[in-house]
This record gives sequence, structure tokens and C-alpha cells, in this order.
Amino acid sequence: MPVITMLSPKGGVGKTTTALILGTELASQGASVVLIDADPNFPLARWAKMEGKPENVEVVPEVDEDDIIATIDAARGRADFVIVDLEGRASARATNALLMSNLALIPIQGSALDATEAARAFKIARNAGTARQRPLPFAAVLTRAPASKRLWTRDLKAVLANLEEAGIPVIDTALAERGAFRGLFSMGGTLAEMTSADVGSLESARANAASFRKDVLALLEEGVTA
Amino acid sequence: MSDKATSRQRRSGIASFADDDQVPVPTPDQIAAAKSAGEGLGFRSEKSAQVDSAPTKTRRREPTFTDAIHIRSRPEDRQRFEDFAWRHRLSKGDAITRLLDYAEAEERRLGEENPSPLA
Repeated sequence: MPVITMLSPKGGVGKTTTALILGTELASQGASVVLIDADPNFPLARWAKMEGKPENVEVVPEVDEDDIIATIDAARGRADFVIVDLEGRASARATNALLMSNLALIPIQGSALDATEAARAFKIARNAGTARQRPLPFAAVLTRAPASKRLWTRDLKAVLANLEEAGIPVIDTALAERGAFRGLFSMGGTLAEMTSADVGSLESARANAASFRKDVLALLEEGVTA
Repeated sequence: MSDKATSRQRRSGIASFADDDQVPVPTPDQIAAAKSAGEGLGFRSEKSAQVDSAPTKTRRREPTFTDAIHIRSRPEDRQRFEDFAWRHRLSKGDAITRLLDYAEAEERRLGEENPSPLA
């Protein structure tokens, strides 16, 4: 079953949030999901300990760079989707996880720093495809973007233009900066269980997450390679 | 510390990937190739980093310059001495040795050209 890896050598770009939104969205549609928490800070494992984790979501902490291949292999045998959340740094753990992946998602915010590190991520994804003699599809994901495109900064637009110029696919749906997404980590559970009393603009957040899930599934089916 | 997935029910909204050919487990050669390429981009093994960071035994350097000369000199001679040491990339102690070697060699040369009548 498909393995989707969240990759960026930079911390704080939204890898874990993206992984959790995608994982819980897929689970809400009935799919079984294994989230492999390969961040030594174990943010997903902490989320799993809170109330509200769906039964069809399994969180497996794994930080050993050699064992991660076998962990992914075992996980894809028992779940419809495997999502690997890597830590925000360059490591051999990332290299090995990519060798097992069907799709790499590279979260990026609209800043020059993020763009620089994302460029490294694109290269390592290409290298993984070369090493395993099978291309690894990858795409950029815009995270923490203003909900309205009218409010997008010039830097963000410049990053998008550079991605387009380089022929790097970008997931159509940008994940907006939303309290509901942050609330997943502070309250646990999923967007489906939150109430409007918990966070603002909940319906917009749900629609944003659902749209993102559809885009990722479409990309998986296409297997687009930059 | 894992929470096992229990529900395997399928929904029509989720695309089936049953026909998708699974990415094969990489061979050791592929892992090595990926690791090598990754290291060029800074994606390094933490295991080897741990080995690298192990304290290495450094050989203690035996002190060479254990004596001292305090000389009052003309400012220009001090400057010449420091320039000489800098030109030859020598420590001051080694510069003294070099100057003495030159001086003694010159003494010998002069001695051979003009042998002392007492010798």
C-alpha cells in the first residue's frame, strides 16, 4: 500500500501537521493508516496518547535509520496508507525512508529559507529515485499559507513561480494557517470531532483538509515525477 | 508504543491501490548508493556521526622551547627578527635556531677562506 513521506531538512515547515491532517483525513474516509513517527521528539506519538485517536490510525515511533526500512515494509502490509513523518533535519533516516516511498511531499512556506532547504529535499528525492532505479514522485506542499490568496506575500508568490519554473509539482491545495490544525496537537483527535466552540473557522479547515487529501490521492494515482 | 489499526473497511471515496506495484525493498547496493548520494547533500548517517564524535586520543606535544632569552635590542633589529620569522613561517624559537645555523655556517666559511694562523 502507498507510502507517503513528509520530507524537509528544515524544521518548522509543517511536516508533522501535514502528516497528521493527511492521515486523519484518509482515516475519516475509512482507510487504515499507519503514521510512522520518525522524529526523535515523537510529536505524533504524543498526539496518539491523547483522546480521540481513531481506531484505524496506528502510530509507530521509529527513529533507527537502518530499521526504518523494515518498519515501513511491515506497516504497508497491514494498512491502506503509510505516512512517514521525518524530523526537520538532513539524515540517512530520510534517505532510507525515501527508498521505500511511493510519494514524497515536501512542505514549504513562503520564505527564502524554506525554499533553499526545499531545493535540497527535491535533490535527495531525485537521488533516491536514481539509487533505487525507480523514479520517486514528489511534490511541494504550501503550508501555513494565508487562507485567502489575496493575502499571499510576494515571497510566497516568488517561491511558487520558482517551483513552476523548475517543473516541480505543487499540490493545488495549500494548507492554510488555521487554529483547527494547531488544535489537533493541543486537543488531540481529528477535525471531525472538533466543535466550533473549540476553534474558529472549523468548516473552512475541514474543507481545506479534505481538498488536500483529494489532491494527494490524485497525485498518487498519476505518479507525477518532476 | 504503537496503537494498532483495526478497521480495514473500504470506502468508495478512497482510491484503491491494490494494483499499484509495491516499491521493492531496496538492495544493499541501492541503500549504499542512496546513502552516498545523500551524504553529498548533507543527509548523513547519525550512526557514523556518533562514531566520528567519539573522543580521539591526541598525542601530547613535548615542549621544545624550555629555556628563554631576554635580549634588549634596537627596535629595527627586533622588527627585522620578527620579519625574518614571519618570512620563513617559523616560531621565534625556531627562528633563533635558524639564525644561529646561518651564523655558524658563515663562521665556518670565513674560517676556510682565511685560516687562522693559530689553527
